[in-house]
Order: sequence, then C-alpha cells, then structure tokens
Amino acid sequence: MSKATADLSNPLIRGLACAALHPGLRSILVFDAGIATLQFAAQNLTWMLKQVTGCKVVPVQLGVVETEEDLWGGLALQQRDAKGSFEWQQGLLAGGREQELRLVILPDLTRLSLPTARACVALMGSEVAYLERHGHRDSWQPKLCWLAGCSRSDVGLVSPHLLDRFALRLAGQDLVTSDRAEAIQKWLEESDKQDCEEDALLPEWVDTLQQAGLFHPEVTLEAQKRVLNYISSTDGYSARRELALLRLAQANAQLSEADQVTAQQVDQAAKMIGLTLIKPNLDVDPRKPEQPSQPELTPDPDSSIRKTGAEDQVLIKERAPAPVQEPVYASDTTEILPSQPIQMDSAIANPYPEDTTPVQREAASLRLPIRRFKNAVSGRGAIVGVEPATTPQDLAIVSTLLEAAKYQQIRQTALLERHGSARGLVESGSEANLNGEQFSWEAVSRSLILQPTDLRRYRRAVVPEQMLMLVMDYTCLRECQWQAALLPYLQWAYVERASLCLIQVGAASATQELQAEKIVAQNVLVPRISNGLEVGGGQATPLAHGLDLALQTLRHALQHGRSAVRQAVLVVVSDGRGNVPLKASQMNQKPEKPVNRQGIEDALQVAQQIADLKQVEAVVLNPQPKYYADLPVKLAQALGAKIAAIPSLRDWEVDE
Amino acid sequence: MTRVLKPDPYNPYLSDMPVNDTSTIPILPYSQIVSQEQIKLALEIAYVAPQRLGGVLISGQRGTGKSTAVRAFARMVYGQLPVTLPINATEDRVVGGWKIDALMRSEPDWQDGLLVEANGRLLYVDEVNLLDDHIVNIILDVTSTGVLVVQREGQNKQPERVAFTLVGTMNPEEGGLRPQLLDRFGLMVSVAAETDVEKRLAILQNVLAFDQAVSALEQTGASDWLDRARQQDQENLEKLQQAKERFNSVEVPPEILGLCIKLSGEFQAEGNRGDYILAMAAKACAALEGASQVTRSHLKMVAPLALQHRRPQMAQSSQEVWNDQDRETLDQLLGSE
Repeated sequence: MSKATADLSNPLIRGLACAALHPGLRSILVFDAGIATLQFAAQNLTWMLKQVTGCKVVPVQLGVVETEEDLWGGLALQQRDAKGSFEWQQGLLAGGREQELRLVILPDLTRLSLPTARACVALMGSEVAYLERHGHRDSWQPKLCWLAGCSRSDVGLVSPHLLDRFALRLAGQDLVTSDRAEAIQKWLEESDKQDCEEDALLPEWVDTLQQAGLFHPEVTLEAQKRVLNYISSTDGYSARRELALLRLAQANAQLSEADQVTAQQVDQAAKMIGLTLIKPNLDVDPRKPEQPSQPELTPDPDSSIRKTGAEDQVLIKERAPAPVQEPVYASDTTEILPSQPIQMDSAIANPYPEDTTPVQREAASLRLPIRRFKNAVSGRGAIVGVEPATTPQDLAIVSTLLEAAKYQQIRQTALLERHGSARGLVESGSEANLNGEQFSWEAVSRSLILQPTDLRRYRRAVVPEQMLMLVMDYTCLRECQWQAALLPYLQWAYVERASLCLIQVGAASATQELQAEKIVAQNVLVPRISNGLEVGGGQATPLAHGLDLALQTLRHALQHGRSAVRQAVLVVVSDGRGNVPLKASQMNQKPEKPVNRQGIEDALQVAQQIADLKQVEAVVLNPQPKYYADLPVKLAQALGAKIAAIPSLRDWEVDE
Repeated sequence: MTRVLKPDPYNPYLSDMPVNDTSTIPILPYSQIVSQEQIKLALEIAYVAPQRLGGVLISGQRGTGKSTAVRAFARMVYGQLPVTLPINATEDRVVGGWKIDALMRSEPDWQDGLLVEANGRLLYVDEVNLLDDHIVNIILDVTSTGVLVVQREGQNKQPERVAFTLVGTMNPEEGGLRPQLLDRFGLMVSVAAETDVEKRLAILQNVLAFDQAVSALEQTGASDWLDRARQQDQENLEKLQQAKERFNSVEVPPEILGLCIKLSGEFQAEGNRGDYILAMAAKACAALEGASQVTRSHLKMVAPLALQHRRPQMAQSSQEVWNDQDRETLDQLLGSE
C-alpha cells in the first residue's frame, strides 16, 4: 500500500490514530474491510501505538481454531529437559502487560472460535484480567488493543454482547491510490526490504502523533451535551457509545492540537464513524448548522478562542480534576500537514448495524456447547477445549498424557512402596513382585501409570447432525393450508437442532425470476427462514433449478469433507408444474422457443438424481392442484418420496 | 494507589490475605459511581446483613457498569479487588488442587482454590451465565451446604466450612441461569441503561473526570480528585460498618413479618427463602438508614430485590420480570405510609 494513501485525512487512518492516542478507543471494529485494508490498518496501528506508548507492540492474529489453552495458556513439557518437567506456557491473550502491548487482530468476527469470542468478552474493556487454570493463577491489567473486521451484512451472526465491547466503529473503505502504476512500481521495489518497511512507514506522522500525545484538551460542557444528541437511548443503547464518541472527539482534538473539545469537534468525530444527529441541536448555539461544513483537520488556530460559557466553566471545574500542566515543546522541524478535509464523499452507514440487522446467531451463542451427539463416538465439531472425561471416547490424548504425567513420580513411588520398599529397590537394584510379574525400579520409572481421573476428552463446538431441506414452490400455495402441513417438519428440525436450507422457487422476492434462491441457516429459529417462508408467489416456476440447488446442497452436506450431517429430510412443496427449463435457469436467459414440458421433464430428471442419494428421506407435500393432478405424484415417484396431501383452504373454511 | 482503608473488623480473614498485584489498578471509586442506586443498595445490604442472606445477582444490559460497581465496592470494603472466578477457570482452581511444579518434584503440596480464598468475603463471578455448567454445579453444592468437600486427585480433605457472599453479574442477552442457582442469590438487581439525559451527562462527566485523574496520577503520582473520592469511600465504609453494628438491634415488628409472608405469597415466590430474605434485607436496609425498626418503606425498597428472581416468570425469561404492574401491586399491598 502506498504511503500516499495513508494520511490523516482518511477517516480510517485518522480513527486508528485516535485509538492509538486514547486507550479507551483501543477496540476497533472495521466494517466491510478487505483483508488487504485490514492488514494495512494493523500495520499502521502497530506503528502508531509504538510511537504513542513507547511500548513494544506485538501483533497476534486470532481466527477459527484457537482453543482455551491457546488463548489463556496451559501446561507444556519443558523443551530440552530430559526429566520431562512442565512449564507454564503463556497464552496468546495472557500477554500484553507493562512494557508490552498486544495488538489482537480478528480478521473476521463472524468466524471467531467460541473460546476466542468468550475471551474477548472477558478481556475487552476490562480493567483487570484473571486467569485461574490448571494450578496456575494470575491477575493483571491487560494492555491489549483489538482490531476486528466484520461484514456489515453478517453482523447478525455476532453476539451483541461482544459487539458492544468494540468502542470504535470505522468503515473500511479501500485505500486506493490514484496512480496504480506508481504504486505497483513502488511495491515491486520495496518487496525485498519488507522488514525495514515498518519503521520507515510514514515518518512525517511521528511529530504529529508525539505532539498530540502531549496535548490534553479540555472537554467543554457544550461538547458533552452534544454527544447526547447523537446517541439514541432506545434500541441497543449503551453508555459505552457515548463515551466512545466523546473520547474520539477528544483524541481528534488532540490530533488537531486544539485546546478544547468543542461541540464542533464532536460533530467531526460523529462524522468519522458515521453517526447522525437524532434530535435537533438544542444545547448549542442555534446559529451553528446541525451538520457542520466539511471540517479542516489541520491544527486549528482558532480553537483556543472558542470559549464555553461562564456557567459551563464553573460546572466543569466542579466536576473535573485540575488539568495536568505539562510543558509542550515544539519540534525542531515543524511539518505542517496538508490542509485536507476528511474524505467522506461516500455516505458512511450507521456504526451500530446490530441494532437493525436481523438476528442470525443461535440464542446464548457465547455459552459452552451442550453435548447433543446421538453417537458419542462422533465428535465432529471444531475443538474448542478439553474437559474431564469418564469414558474413553473422543479422547484428547495429549491432554490426558499431560494430566497423567503430573502424578508419575508420586504414583511410581506409591506403587513400589505398596510392593516393598521403593528406596530398598533403588539401592539394591532388586526387583519387586507385582501381580506375578517382576518389576524393577527402572522398569517402573519408565512406565506411564494412567488412572481414570486423567482422562480428558475434547470439548467440541455444536454441529448439526441433521438437515431439513425445504423446496418451496410459491406459485402453487394460494389455495392450500401449507403452513399447517409444514409445521411437523419444522418442529422436527427444532427438536433435532437440525440445520435448515430453504430453496425458494418462484418467490415474489426473487432477484432473478428464472432462478430459484437458497437460504441456509444454522437452525430453524433464524428469523430469515420464517421471513423467507412468507414471501408470496411470483410468475415463473424454476422448479428444476430449485431441485438442482437442493441436489448440490445435499451432496455437499452429506458427502463433503468433514461435514457432520448424517441425515437429511427433503420436503418438496410443489404441484410439479415447473415452467422454466434447467438450462434457461442456469444461463438466466428466457427461452426463445415454447418450453412445453421441458421444465417438468428437467425437474423429474433432477429428482431422480436426488433419489440416488443415500441418507435422504424425501416427502412431497401435494397441494392437490385442479389441473395436472398427477404431476405431484410423478415428482414423488421420481424422488422416491412419500406423498402427503395438503388440505385445501376451502376444506378449512368448511371445517370451521 | 495504596491501601489506605482500615481493616474490616468483621472480617477475620482479611489480615491473612495476600495483597495481589491488582491493588494498583485504577478502578472508578465507589463513591463516584453515578446512579445505579439499586446495585449499590443490594451490595450494601449484602455487606450489612449476615452472610446467610446469600449473594447478589446483577443482571443488566451492556455497558451499565455492573462489573465496575462490584469491583469498586470490594475495593472500598476490603481494600482490594474481589476474589474473582473468571469464565476461564478450571475445576482445580475452584476447589483446590496440587501445585504442579511441586508435584513434579514428588512433593504433594495442596493449593486452596477460590472458594476457600473467598471464605468470609465476596466471591465475584463475572459473566456468571457463561460459566461452565460443571463449575456452576460445584458452586451450587458449596453454597447450599456451606461445606467444601474435596475428594479428587487422590486427595480426601476433611470437609471445610466455607461461607462467602456470591456476587454475579450477567447480561441476560446471553441466556439465563438455572432456578437452583438463581435461588442461591439472596438478592437480584435488574439494571437498565440510564435514559435520563441529566444522568447520562453526569455519567459522561464522571468517567471523563476519572480518566483525567488516572492520567494525572500516572504523570505526577497524585490526584486530588482520587484523594477526595477515597476520602468519601472511607466515610461510606464507616457508615456501612456502623450499619453492620446496628443490624442486630434493629427491630422487626410482627406486622412487617406478616407482610413479608404476604408479599412472598402474592408474588408467587418459589421456595421458602423469599420471605426470610425479604425480612432480612429489609432489616439491613433499616440499619443502613439508621432506623431503629423496619417499616413498610424499607420493605418497598427491597421487595423487588428479594422476590423478582424467585417468581415463576423468571424460568421463562431472564429479562426483567418486575414491571409497572408489579410496582403497582406492591404499592397497593403496602399502602402508603
């Protein structure tokens, strides 16, 4: 990434600089950032933190595989120690104290391992961290800075409890250079000296950041009141949001070398993260516009003359401690930053999308998983830790051996003492008789004595073992009680904690009329499924494409890699009258010739392929169409499925 | 920050406790916490009343300062942060276990766990609803019997009496607690985020002032603001200790005891502990106010704390179960004084 792109006028870079300046902002969530942008942000933040804090900054990247032992620490055999003694191995998140600051990078918040998500909740923003594991105890003040990426559309997958911990929300717009050719040239030249790049990065910021660190602008009452105008106290409200905005305004004022944090600086900070006013500005001077004009972010010469009212000053003095008087020394080589406004051409969206995004996560998603496997041998979920076991299934061998190793010396001595004096054995080199076998001291000391209490098994994330595949043809549902007919299958999915795949055929909401659409969910409770069921019918019926999508998905779920799905139930709700040939759907082109029965034949052909799949139990729910009443039966025969009639709406009316 | 508070005469364990390295970590002083009156009341009652009152469960939305309040209270009362059971805790650290390094040298050296360490004090469980079920079961066992029995890893210790005030904080968005564990908490507070503009502003100003004070402390080694706050904490502690001394002399009229039974019945509190706890909490509340006998107003203050988590609705929803209608019912039952 070119240096030219990364100046302080960029909201992302400026936000990172503010986070480096204020410890209260050091949990940053960047929305919709590409991996390159996140890496670039991490690189810059590392450098900035080093400049501001003077600490050693160690980046740590966490993802989908970390277990509790990796994060908090665990016992490990001492290397190069023939006696095999243990040492405590510090976890990735247990570092970051005193002169070391850890930058924790979470590339994708939606794909975080459960132990990592739990550790984040316990550590982020906490004044003190505690560790109580495997005979080891520790408590410390964590010095961690968090940088996470998350797609705005997937934010519903993340626990709001975890999201709330992220104080600073930034938009991850691509930091592109205007001259790509020059950038490539530079990149090629710099590739060999990557190691020294970090230190050479943007040296013109050194003075700015170091100077800013010495400024302690006074926060005016007007600014404090202004903050309240940006944060709604209704949905998802948390006092952390107000604090974050005020701290951002404070850090931004430091960067601007302003003496005071004014309402205007709060406006600037709000704009940086995409907040808009929720109510008219009643507390500040009404002559000022609600949204200030594009602010200048260079040191503001007028900032010192923006005084607050006398009344405000009295209040502030009452509440706040006396500001620290520090000498501020001017740099020998003063460098004036270019007078650039913050680049905010594109509208930045709401920084708290979790308030409005539909929930897609499981309830109580941060809890440790409950064992649901029908077959105890089949540990298929990702390993999230270890736990004591009473049966030798899915054993965590290394943890079991480590647990046993702790007691070896004592057990060996106890064993020999039970069968004669251990000391005597050692001294005389003689042998003891144990269960009819001769044991020497050497033989016993070389053996591993395992006891049932040593057994450890893997604690695994929950994975669905069952799948409900719903193929809904919305064009045939107008006159039947399909909800009632579907209910038993949805109940089954709920009871079995099955994952769910909804194939929408001919839905009114379809983006491409000729194609079916697929919605996948971890379980039936995900609101997208219930919303997706009720969309209403469209014009075309791409049934063949819908069945083809179902076929591909079932194959993937049942046969691909380490998938844990063992049984799938396919429910097809259709009258069998597909009117879009498969090829037309795949090409997304309207057929030029009349299709005749092509759509129906294609659907039957795909249905036969589904019938070949083992572990799929298929059911066709027949809406009992007036015309072509045999088609649902043919479809069921092709699928090898059972068939059940859906009562007509007219019957219902008569019943009632 | 140094320990300036005088030792708690009611806590014989305090003098033996090691001061860990968290004693210098800056925590917002208890006296400076804005609002959160219910949390403060519950924690103070739990301190003033005998330990058999049980602990305090603080359930609330994000960012309502639950953990800060508990830590600040413990620092004010005990002079250091509470014994904390984190969600990463393993069983051996909860009930006790062998010291691994000594074990490797064939020296069985027992190390007490957090339950013993918290004896006579406050055991704080942050994110109590995210705790491993197995650990929850151990805590339940100990809190219900008051005895810690260790029979594991070849160790067979004599049953040891342990009594601690269990304080848990949780965000109900991440799931509730089992009724058995809920019952072990004497009092429960449902905290909602502050919506009053003046109070929101005061919270902002307070945190800012604390930030500045910490910054001043780091740079100059002193902060007037923190010194004043510490002084106020000291005064608060003295008041609490006086209330604790007064607790036994506070009179509970028979009419109040009758009302405790009536309220417990009206609000369908499950089990027998509802009315006991209500009476004891009201007595502690009276002691805190310096009153010589418990009145209806004391009952009114503590009834939601003592009863809300014992109601059947709590099993269905971990969200707030004390609503406006309940407040009206309580007013009607207690009448106006």
